Amino acid sequence: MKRLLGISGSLLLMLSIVTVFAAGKQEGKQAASAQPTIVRFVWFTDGPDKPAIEGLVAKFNQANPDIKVEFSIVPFAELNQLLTTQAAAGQAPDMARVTEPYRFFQYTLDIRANLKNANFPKEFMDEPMKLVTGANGEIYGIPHDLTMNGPFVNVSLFKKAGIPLPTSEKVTWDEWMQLAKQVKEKTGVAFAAAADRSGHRLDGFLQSYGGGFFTEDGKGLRISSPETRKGLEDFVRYHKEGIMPLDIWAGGTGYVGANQQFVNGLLVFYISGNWQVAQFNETIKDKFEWKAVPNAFIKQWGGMPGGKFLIAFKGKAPVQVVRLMEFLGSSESMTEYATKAMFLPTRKDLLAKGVQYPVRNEDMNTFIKGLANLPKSAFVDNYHLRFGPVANEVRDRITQAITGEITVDKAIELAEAKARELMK
Amino acid sequence: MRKKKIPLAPYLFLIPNLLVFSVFIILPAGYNFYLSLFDTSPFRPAEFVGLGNFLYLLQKDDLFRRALSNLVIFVFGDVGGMLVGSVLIGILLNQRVKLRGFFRSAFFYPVLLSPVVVALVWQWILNNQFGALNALLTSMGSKGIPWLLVPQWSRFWTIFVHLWATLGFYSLIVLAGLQSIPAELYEAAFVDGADRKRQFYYITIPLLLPTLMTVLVLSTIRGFEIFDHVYILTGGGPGTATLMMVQYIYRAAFQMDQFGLAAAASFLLFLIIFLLTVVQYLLGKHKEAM
Amino acid sequence: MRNGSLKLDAMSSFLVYFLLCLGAALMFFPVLWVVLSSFKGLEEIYRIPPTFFPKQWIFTNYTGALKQFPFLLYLWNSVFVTLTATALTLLINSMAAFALSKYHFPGRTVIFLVMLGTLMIPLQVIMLPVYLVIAKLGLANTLWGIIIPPAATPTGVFILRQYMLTISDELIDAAKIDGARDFRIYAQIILPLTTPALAVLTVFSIMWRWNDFLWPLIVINQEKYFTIQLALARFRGELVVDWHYVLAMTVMSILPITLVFAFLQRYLVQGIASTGLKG
Repeated sequence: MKRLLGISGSLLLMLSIVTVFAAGKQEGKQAASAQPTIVRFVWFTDGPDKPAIEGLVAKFNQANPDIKVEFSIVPFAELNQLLTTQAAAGQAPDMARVTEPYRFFQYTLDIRANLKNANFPKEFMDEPMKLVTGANGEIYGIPHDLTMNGPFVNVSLFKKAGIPLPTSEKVTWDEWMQLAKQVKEKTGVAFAAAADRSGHRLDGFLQSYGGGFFTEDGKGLRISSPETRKGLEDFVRYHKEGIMPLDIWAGGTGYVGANQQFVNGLLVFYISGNWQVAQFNETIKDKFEWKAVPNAFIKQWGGMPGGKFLIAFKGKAPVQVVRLMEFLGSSESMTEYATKAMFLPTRKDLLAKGVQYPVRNEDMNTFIKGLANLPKSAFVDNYHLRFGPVANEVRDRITQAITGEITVDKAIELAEAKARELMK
Repeated sequence: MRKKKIPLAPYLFLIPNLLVFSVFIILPAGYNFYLSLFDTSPFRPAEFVGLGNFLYLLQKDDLFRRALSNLVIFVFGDVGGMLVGSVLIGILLNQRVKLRGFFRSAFFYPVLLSPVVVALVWQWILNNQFGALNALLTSMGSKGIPWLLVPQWSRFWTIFVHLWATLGFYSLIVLAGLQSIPAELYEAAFVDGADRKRQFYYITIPLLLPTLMTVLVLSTIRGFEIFDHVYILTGGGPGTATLMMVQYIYRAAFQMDQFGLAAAASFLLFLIIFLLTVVQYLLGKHKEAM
Repeated sequence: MRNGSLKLDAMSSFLVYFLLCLGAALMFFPVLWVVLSSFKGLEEIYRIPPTFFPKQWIFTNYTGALKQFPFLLYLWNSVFVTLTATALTLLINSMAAFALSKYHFPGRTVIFLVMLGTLMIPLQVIMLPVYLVIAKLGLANTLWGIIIPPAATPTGVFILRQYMLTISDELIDAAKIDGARDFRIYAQIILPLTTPALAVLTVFSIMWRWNDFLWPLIVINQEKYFTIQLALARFRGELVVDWHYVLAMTVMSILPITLVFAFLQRYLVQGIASTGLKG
């Protein structure tokens, strides 16, 4: 009996300490009204975008003395974890740059009520806009930059091997792979071809075959369709034949890039995307000649659109955060951002007018043209609410097929079973 | 201090630790168990499935099973290496040599590094193309080996790197244990004509047993929770050859949005560790080592 | 002849030195390589085959990385968190270990086993509920939010308890006869005798808290509360990692802890070893 008393006594003590602590803290929060309203803005960076966005934030702070934007950068790998956890406890930032807005719809702010320009959401591309639109038409944010997948070629290696680049515009993946293989053999470099380890890049590869993950209405799956299957079989085969190195795809830590191999001139053909342009320009310099080329065309053009979104969270600054969003989404701000960071804009007016990039303008326009050529299925997949986890599952199962743990057929079967579960 | 009456003092001493412990470990663990009974998705309310997640993991999920068997292999290699390695290094560091302080510090140094740093460093060394080890091999005329792309090698290196990073700590514990063995015992044995080997088997090992028990318990538990080192070094690859439990849990929660499933997996992991701990505790109790 | 280290003959002496040197090299070489690489340009970092010494020593990795945030402020935050958390850990863990090793009371075994069993619960798994509690207590976005939750580490209790078990009960009984109360026994008899184990836990705790990354990342919202590890992590993007900055900041982050260790190693390493830490 006494021991029960002792235990419950200490429990009680524990509880009271916790309560006192909580109460004391709440009273301490008394905000002075003359202070500028703080808008907390969380960002992750891929390099060149950082000075661009920092410049814009500084500009906004200067023009709006009643608002203070607190800008902080977090690593991408932990972004989702960070936002999910903080939002669940009511501690979300006011605005964040994300890749998968749907994860946070429970906590995001409908910006429509506070917009100065009610037409603002319509100024952005329709497809990506869907990803920040709630079930009842709520608008939670905007697409802020656009990316486009596509291959890069080491032109100097082709010249050194004495093999001309293909002249026709429409080249299949197989033709590229064979060319890359020949160049590799003639020049003795380490790698013929590589693709980033990402379900997104893989889907872009599959698009050329007429393949993809989801049916056109988005309700069904087509991972095991003949087109997708053919693409996946080829992709695995290229690894088994040694045209694509195991180095990139055999690991399991989510995303793995082949930038190192490419910038060192060791890789002939690299399937990645426009975000590499700025870094390539900086690190390759005059070491060799390179350029972006269109995605393969088999049944249709390949490639995938992608991009980052700005979303607003419910919080203490619902008016101010929308003002910041309208500023960053304005035509002027976006032009500055896109040219500095070498991204593609998401505003309809800028896409129609085109953006003049200070360097590597031609390569950037290869991507913009590719974007215009994209099949509808690429947009369906990328803007599907379950794209993230389904792409991860396909990526990891195909990895198992590449390393020989399971067959391609088994990989497809397992991936589709898991995807079906995720679609419930 | 052995009294019949139930004393109050130990509870008072325990309160601060228990308070923090309950609020920040037990409570969350309880919540975690509660979550494991639900099928969760970001798009619909959580649905109560009872033990459904557990059955799914045990019966249907090949990745879960793979992660579990990989983990068992890892822990065996890791703990084995830890016991042998720490005794070996402990004995080396116990010798009377010049610069003894320096050597003791040198072996301890990697313990200070964060898992992220450790894994990044070794990734650079073992990288197929850019790595120092293969550069060394090719400069000696032999062919480089894709260390992290061959399942067996990848398994080996995950264990090796973890040992590299933590052996220093366990070696110090062993060293301390060695120093507490009275020198007279060895002197007596020496007089009796026992050679080094016999001294080792008949004096060192038996008297070191309690210390080795500590090493065993700590390294087993730490082995089961392995994550950062392996995740950054191999990412679980090639394929799923080094996929460990915590990485499986992490993937289920943050890459597949299946929080309920992740919670169930972590509860199973907890259960395994807990049972192992109890068994080791009872074994230790039996030998009066703990 | 003390401590069982018999005099070595020439052959085994050579072997011992050989193994010691080999081991020391194996322990230091990887770190040395990182330090040297942090002075290489991005292009040289990616070079195949890799270089050991920088072809060209470059300091812009450091100056460039340091320009991006107030290093001294973050250093101070890290130091504050590390020291406070370590002090707190030592205090509450040693009290708990004292209770678990020197008293017999109902619930002792259960409490000990539960603690041991939870030794392995990974943070990733319980982060959300832990954070909910922190937010409820008003500790989100404070340094205390980083300090308190990991303080009751079961590992610490385990190490200290195992050590205290080896302290003879007779000492305590003698003190009892002299009229010493429980707290005095803890503070004046047990704690001084536990110094080696406390030293081990100090090193452990400093190392854990200094290298802590995920938890501070979640707790802290404002850059003014950032620790060194958070500053280091920001260079890891989705698609591009600024390796030259990451390397430079890695060196910056291991430098302080290396210096601390260099100063304390005589007390810690020797202290632990010479007093004996039993299982």
